[in-house]
Amino acid sequence: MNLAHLHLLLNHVPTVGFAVGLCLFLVALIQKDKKVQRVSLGILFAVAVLCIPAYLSGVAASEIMQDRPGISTELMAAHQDAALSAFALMELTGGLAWLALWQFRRSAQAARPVLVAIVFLSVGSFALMAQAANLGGGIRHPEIVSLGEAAAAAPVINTAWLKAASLRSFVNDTDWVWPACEAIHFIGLGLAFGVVLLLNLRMLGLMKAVAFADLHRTLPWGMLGFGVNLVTGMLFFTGVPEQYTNNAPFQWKIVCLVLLGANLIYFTSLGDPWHVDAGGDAPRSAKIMAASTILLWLGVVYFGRMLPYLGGSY
Amino acid sequence: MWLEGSGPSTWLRESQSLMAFPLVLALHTVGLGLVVGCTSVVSLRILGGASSIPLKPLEKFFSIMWIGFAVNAVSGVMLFAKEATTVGISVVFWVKMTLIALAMWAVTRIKTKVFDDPLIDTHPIPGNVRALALASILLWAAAITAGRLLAYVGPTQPEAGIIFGSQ
Amino acid sequence: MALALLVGVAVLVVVAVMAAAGYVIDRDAARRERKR
Repeated sequence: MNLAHLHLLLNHVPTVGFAVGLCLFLVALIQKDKKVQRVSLGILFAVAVLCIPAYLSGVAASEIMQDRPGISTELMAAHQDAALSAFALMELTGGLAWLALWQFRRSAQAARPVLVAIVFLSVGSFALMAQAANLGGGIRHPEIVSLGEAAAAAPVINTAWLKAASLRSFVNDTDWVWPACEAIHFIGLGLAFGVVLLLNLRMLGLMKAVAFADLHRTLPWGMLGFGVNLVTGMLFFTGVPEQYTNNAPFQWKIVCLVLLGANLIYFTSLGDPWHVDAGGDAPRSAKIMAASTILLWLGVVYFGRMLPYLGGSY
Repeated sequence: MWLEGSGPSTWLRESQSLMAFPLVLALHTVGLGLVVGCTSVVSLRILGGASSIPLKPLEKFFSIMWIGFAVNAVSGVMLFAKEATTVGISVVFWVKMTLIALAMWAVTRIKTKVFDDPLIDTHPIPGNVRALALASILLWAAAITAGRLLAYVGPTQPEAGIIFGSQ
Repeated sequence: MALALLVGVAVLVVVAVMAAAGYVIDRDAARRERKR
């Protein structure tokens, strides 16, 4: 299985998966069913997490496919640009979905402005995703190729403000952007790591005087750290994709991050960690999740730092 | 310079093994994560974030921070020794060292004023301590930035064409 | 020198935005906790 194949598998998630999550969310809002709201928010978050390897494998796929006969490079470029905008909005939606889940855990309901924002952002993301998917289909399906080319020439929603090529020149042609992104990337990692240590060391038995629910309140700080790292990371990737697409440590880093998404939902929403009181001992499952979270984060930092040395594509 | 010619430094420079330079760099990054992570969380709490967390239990974080600091001091010396002649005269490097010294001073002041206070958690945190916490956050962010800039400014600049910049 | 300044300003802006966002979220959570 190569990365192009992986892309074909994964791209069903931000399309079909997202459609399911969005419909469920809208129905849950109308029915005022909080349980279903939480489930659908979880789906939206999971889709946003999987959208990361979906996008990255897409860029890898374009490198694999670009010299093959019968492939329209203009369509691939149009598809990538549309996908980039869709991806950006999708990640924002996923981030807010996570925040709503965090609020649901803490006060039995999410803030109305957050839910409203998620409605608008998810509908917008879906529209952009549909457009990107339509263009993507045109790349290799001759039965709809004419439709695809017409769409590439005049996309329904104009995403020209965020083209992969313009991001690429922003990152590469200015001398301050890359070092600034690197510095921010380290600051983000510091903040995320601090929150990770706080929560997970508590599960493992340190600082027992504090209830987990109180520490849970620091999760948004960790997510802000992760958030800036996602943005700066995407700037690195879009700037010089060739350094990353076939780079093994980078791929392992992404695998670790996707797995961490599951751990994050565990600590954000589930009852086992939430009910660990001041002085209380965490259940076995929570300890295992805590240990795995720390190990996965060390993996992210290690693979990230080893990118230039183990990858062999520099 | 004698430091560069010394045994460990030559090993670091010339060893192709993954256990050498890349590992030292990786350790330096993990140490950074420990130090900046622990100080950020404590500082943010002092500044009023997540105020339902009692301060006293967070004292454990200082021990973890010191472990990270030790890892970075050792790995830092090794990284320095590798390029002592070029880094030693770099203004950015000495700015980074100064920022770290100031940041550690702020952190140890916080430890003394807040965590060694027997009345901890009984009274609101005074404004001058909150200022120290803010300073700590900004100083660590600046130290990280200076560390990154080391690869781009001054005698340690990379040859043209290497995007990554770091050694 | 100009590079260091540009990088420094960019970092400062990002840190400030993160701080503002974190502050807003935390204040909202504190308010809801008091109401409960």
